[in-house]
Amino acid sequence: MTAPIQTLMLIDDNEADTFLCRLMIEEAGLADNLLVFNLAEDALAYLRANPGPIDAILLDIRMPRMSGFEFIEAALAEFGSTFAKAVIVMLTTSLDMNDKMRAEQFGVIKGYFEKPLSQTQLETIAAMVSGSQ
Amino acid sequence: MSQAISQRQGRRDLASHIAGYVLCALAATILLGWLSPLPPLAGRVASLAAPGPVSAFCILFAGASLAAEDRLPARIVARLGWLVWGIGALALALDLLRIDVGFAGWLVPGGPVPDATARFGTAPATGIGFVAGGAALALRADERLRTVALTLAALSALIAATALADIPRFGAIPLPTGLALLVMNGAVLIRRDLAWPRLTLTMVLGALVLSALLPPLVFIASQARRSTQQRLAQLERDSHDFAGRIGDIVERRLAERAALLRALAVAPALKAGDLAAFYAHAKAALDPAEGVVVITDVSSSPRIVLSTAVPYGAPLPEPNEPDARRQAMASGQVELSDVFKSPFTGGPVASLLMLAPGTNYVVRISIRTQWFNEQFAAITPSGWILAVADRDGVLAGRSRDPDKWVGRRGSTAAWALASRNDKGWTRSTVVEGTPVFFAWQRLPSGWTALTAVNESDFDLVAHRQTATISIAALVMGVLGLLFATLTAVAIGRPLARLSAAATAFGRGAEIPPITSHIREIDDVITALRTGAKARAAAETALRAREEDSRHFTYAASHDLKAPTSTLQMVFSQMQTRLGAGDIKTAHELARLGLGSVVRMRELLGKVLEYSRVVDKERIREELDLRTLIVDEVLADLNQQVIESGAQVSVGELPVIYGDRVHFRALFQNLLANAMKYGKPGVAPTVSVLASQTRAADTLSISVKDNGMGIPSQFHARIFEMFQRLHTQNVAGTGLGLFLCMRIIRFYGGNIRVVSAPEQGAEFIVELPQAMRAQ
Repeated sequence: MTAPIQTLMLIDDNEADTFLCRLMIEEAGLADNLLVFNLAEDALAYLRANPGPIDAILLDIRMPRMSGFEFIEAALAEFGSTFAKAVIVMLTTSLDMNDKMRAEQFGVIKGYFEKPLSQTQLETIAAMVSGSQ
Repeated sequence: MSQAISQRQGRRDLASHIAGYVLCALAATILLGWLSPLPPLAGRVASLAAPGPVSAFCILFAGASLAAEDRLPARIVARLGWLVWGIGALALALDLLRIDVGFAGWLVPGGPVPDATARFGTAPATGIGFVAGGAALALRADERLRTVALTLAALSALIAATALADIPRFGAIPLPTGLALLVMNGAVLIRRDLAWPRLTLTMVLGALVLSALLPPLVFIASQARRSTQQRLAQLERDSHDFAGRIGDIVERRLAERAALLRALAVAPALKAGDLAAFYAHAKAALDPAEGVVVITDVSSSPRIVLSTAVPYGAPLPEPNEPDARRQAMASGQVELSDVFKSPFTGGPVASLLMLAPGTNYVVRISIRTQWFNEQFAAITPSGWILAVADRDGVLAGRSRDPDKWVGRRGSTAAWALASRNDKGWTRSTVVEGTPVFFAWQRLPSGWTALTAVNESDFDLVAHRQTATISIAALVMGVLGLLFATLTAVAIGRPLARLSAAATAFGRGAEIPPITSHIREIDDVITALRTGAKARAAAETALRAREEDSRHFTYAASHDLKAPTSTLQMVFSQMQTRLGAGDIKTAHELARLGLGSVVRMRELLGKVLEYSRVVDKERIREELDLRTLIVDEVLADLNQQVIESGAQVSVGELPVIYGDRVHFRALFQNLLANAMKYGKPGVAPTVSVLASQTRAADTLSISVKDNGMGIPSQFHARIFEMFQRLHTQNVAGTGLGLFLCMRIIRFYGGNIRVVSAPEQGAEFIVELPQAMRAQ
């Protein structure tokens, strides 16, 4: 059986969060291929080396060195429409309204979810991926 | 109820306005009367019109302020009120002190007067002025003042009434009462209009100039007063001189006539009883134009038996001078009669009488008053009246209007004085309704010589003589006021600008680009501008700090909430995994959970440190930074030094003046970072040195390590709040360097980093040179 999402990228500097997320995704069988990065720079390097399509990206906002927003800007600049096809969901605990407002200004950001990630949210992401194809 | 009040208020307003218009009309009448070239009006109307333009202006003001009360700005009304009151007070003071300053006619109602005490109570304008003032106050004053104002108005009405009723020397309103009225008027004005007025610069300067003008004005006034007194003394001498001259005329005439009478009385024809012969003798001895001879037979009841006034043998009237005749019969000497009505002509006549020796005949020779009139008129200068009165005050001769006055009593007031003493002079008596200077001298015959000169004639002379002084005083006053105004403008305008600048400063607004052309004031304005800029900068900084603080609260809350969410999930998953017997995953979850708790704890510690350190001014003290780092900071970090195997060297460092808590936290963070971010497998080397300063006014300290270094694109970001370069595998909160930055900024310093990847990092702390302890 094929999972709803082929390639899912998870970018979060928090080791515990990524571990939990991975557990949930694997449990739900949501993605065939799960890529986890602790630093946005590493994710950017991966995209550069592997031009293949990414279906969805779960992205933390506050991360060392490069924030989630900076990652999107850098990726859009570098990969353009290829990157824009991905369903990008911001994943954060941020209470800062500025962050949310900034997220709304990015057309590519399809969702703004508060941690911890729930089963329902994962299903919503799956639905968005299938809807966008 | 409020409607009733507003109705009452409306009625009061209406009454106030009507009173205002009436007063205006009155003032206009007075002004017209004063300005009119027509001859002065007679009697009371004249005394009403007599007030000068100043009185009129006072009344006009009172009227205008009542009529246009709600249209005139209160400030202007108050100022004008003070001005009017001041002029009025000055005028009355001059009048009361009997100071004639020449132009007093412009100030004092009715002009300068010899007897000011009497005049005060009788000046209608004064009374009317008080009425107007009192009424105005009564209508406008609040409840507490109304009683005072009404009393004032009532007293003033009394003054005005007595003045209009022409009661001379109204004793009931003497000087003290007048002064009391003035004081009350002033007190009411002060209480009502301004409480105590706030002085403006113009007022101060005006007072200054006026006080400078006062000595010359007083000098002028005293000079004028002295010259007035000299003129009055001269006038008194002249009066007595004239009285003496007419006395001589009268006495010579009487003596001459008495000699004639004596000669006639001893005529043989008379002794012989031959009246026809005596008639012929008398006709020859006496010019009929100079008088007549009359013989009264007193042997039984007195009857006229002969008169040269009529042909001999013609019918004769009844005799008419009993008192003098009886005296003549008793004394046997020549006696002078009072003025009586001639039984022949019906006109006024006097006579000398004598009992002819050895007969029952009283011989009388008439004294024609016409002769006196002519003699007096010949020597009377213009403006003067010379007269002679008999023992009873009936005029026997008068230089002016004799037909009207001779044979009648003259001024009752004047005779009341003259009958008291044999000789005298007075400054205030009314003759023919005109105030005069009046002098008298009793003559040996018992009659009295009288002189009177119009006060107005004296005034005319006085005014002419003091005209120069008056003009000088006026010019001085005008120049003084001009100077006061110019000074007030020259200083007042710059001060007004300063005031505007200060007001803007007070409001927190920007200070407009104004200059005053006075250096000191410009300095103050510049200082205010600088102060305003500094305040604006401080406010901006404060807002920035507040923004930082808000941001910090958000961010700290976020970073504290995140691990709790994680922990919730961790425990939940752990429970599931343990239930399913997945020990390996549960173990991993436990490890991650523990890491989250450790980070939380660390973050909480930093937040506490931040709130303890940032933006709080503490006790500044002398800090030897080297001692501080070696004894305290490294002691705190001892564990980390041992674990990392770091080599820390501390060079000579400046002694500064600052807060111990601040600098301890600063170096703790910098040294901890230097040891934490070392190159893998290389023991950290950290050196703290006083570095070369870039600027003379900067005090630099460098903390340098040999660690992993920082890529240049992150050099600015590392000082921002909650910004990190490492994942959570490396302990850290993202607050340490932010805290360092805040501490240094607090002292007006700066912190920067010099670093490249793998090249180590040097953090340079720059503090103001002024912080160095002396």
